[in-house]
Amino acid sequence: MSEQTSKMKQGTGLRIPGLEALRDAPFFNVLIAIVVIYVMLTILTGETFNTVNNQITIMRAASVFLILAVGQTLVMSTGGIDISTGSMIGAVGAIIGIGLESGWMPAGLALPAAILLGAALGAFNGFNVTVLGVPPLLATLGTFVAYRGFTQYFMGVNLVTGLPDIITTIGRAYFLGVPVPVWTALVVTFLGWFVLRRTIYGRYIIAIGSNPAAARATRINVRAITASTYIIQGACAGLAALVLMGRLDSASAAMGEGLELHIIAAVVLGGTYLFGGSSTMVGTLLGVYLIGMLENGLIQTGAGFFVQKMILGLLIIGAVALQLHQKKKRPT
Amino acid sequence: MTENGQLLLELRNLEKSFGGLRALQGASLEIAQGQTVALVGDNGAGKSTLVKAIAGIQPADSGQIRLRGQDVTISSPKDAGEMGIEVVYQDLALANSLDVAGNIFLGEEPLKVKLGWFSVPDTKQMDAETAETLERLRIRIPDPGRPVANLSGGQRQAVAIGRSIRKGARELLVLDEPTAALGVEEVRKVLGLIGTLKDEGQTMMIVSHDLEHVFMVSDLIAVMRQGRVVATVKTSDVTKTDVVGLIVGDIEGAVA
Repeated sequence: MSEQTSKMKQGTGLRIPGLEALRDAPFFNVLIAIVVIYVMLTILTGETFNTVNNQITIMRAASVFLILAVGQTLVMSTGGIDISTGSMIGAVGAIIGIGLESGWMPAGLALPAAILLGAALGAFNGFNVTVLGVPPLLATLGTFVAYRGFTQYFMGVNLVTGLPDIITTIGRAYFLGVPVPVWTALVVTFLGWFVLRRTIYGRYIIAIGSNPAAARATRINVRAITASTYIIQGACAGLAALVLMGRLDSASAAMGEGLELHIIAAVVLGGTYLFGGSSTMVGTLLGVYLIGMLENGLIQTGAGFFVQKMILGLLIIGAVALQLHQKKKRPT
Repeated sequence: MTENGQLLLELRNLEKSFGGLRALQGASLEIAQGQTVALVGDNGAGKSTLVKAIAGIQPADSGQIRLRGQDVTISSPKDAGEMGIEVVYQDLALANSLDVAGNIFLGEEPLKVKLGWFSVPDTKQMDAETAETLERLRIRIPDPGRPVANLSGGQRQAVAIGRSIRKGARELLVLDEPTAALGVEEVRKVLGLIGTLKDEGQTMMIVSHDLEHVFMVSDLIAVMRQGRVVATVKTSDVTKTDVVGLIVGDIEGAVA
């Protein structure tokens, strides 16, 4: 494709500016991957993959990931990482679930309470990273274990089911033929895109990730801004927990287990630089779709859960390797 | 000493220790308005520590800083900025992913919509003011809308200096190793830029290892050794050999 573009430019003098901009976009790789894999899966699965219904199924499953990935993109912009997302979902789900079951939590308050709870869990991560100075990977590895431990301690083997309508609506209802979780995720993504691309906050997190010393030498409150990305990630986890509870109509101590790797893979595949300073919300959206599509397609081709895990793990390594390789060629 | 103008900045007996290491052991220095003072010294002589004390990044443990005769306390970069003191650091000046205007205005963007952290910057005004600043300093950057990662070393240095000037280094501009790691042509451009600023009457302190560049642009040379300013000499009165002697301690210092 890149050869074609340059041929057009030299050969006929024809320039397609949109195409050139697209080739330079950080999410170009993931776009190509989506096209190639989409065609492959369509061929491999016969008629079942390339249908409107199946695409909606993919998006509904991916919506929880997308909500989390938006927060992760902001965290990664600063050069941080949050691997405690799955455990935050578990903890929020446990508290809200038990609260609803035992009646002390009014159903109408579940959504704001979940978001605030998530934000509080994220604030603890932010505190550990910015005030105590614990490296993000280890700070959130700590809470990854601790929050899950809390959830299991708090809930035991209980399974809360029969949730109020308001919550199942958030997880299961349709609006204009599209599932409500998909709408929710798209709104969150738009907000994330706006904050990242259009506000000074977006500039500051990019500056912090790109050169922390330079950011510190300005009036930017580097600590507060960095901590706030973990709070936003926590709030996203709170929202995602409620969407997931609504979809499953239940909450258990295992909720959200293992999804953190999905999120990180999606964000990195989308073109956000793992070490901060360069990120793309459009890429994150595409990265989440790519992984959702792969999972869906692999199930349909008969590959099991374990094969999916292997592919996901290798995909992360591949994406990071590719990113580092391109970084060397073209510093951004 | 104040023949070029009024006394601007006085540092008196600044001390700073890091554990057992005494980085500043009573450093004193005077800078007059409109002067260009070069700060030289061997590695570990205390140049960076002195700059960080003036910049508010690592305030001194004791000693006095006076600005235009007034005692001042500089405990953060914000304090320094408000007093009109700006520092351009050797390497840590720019955020690579932002464009020229984004870097020049970083932390002080004009706002189109005010919403605290989520304010929307007025990029048109930023671009226009950036073009003005670059024009004034005769800095030519073909494509200021690209991330500064794509710029050459000299252009990056120019952007960093432009940033400090626009922010209003109305009292003092400190340049930390402005010519280090640059090619010959780039060095020429940066020295030209320093000349332009000098013509405008900008007071500057230049930290440098390169004595040739120091002799090309400075009025005074302050030599640091073991945490003290051991000599302040008029550039026109000394030779490079003299200055080297002062740096390594073969010649005992005498404050001019």
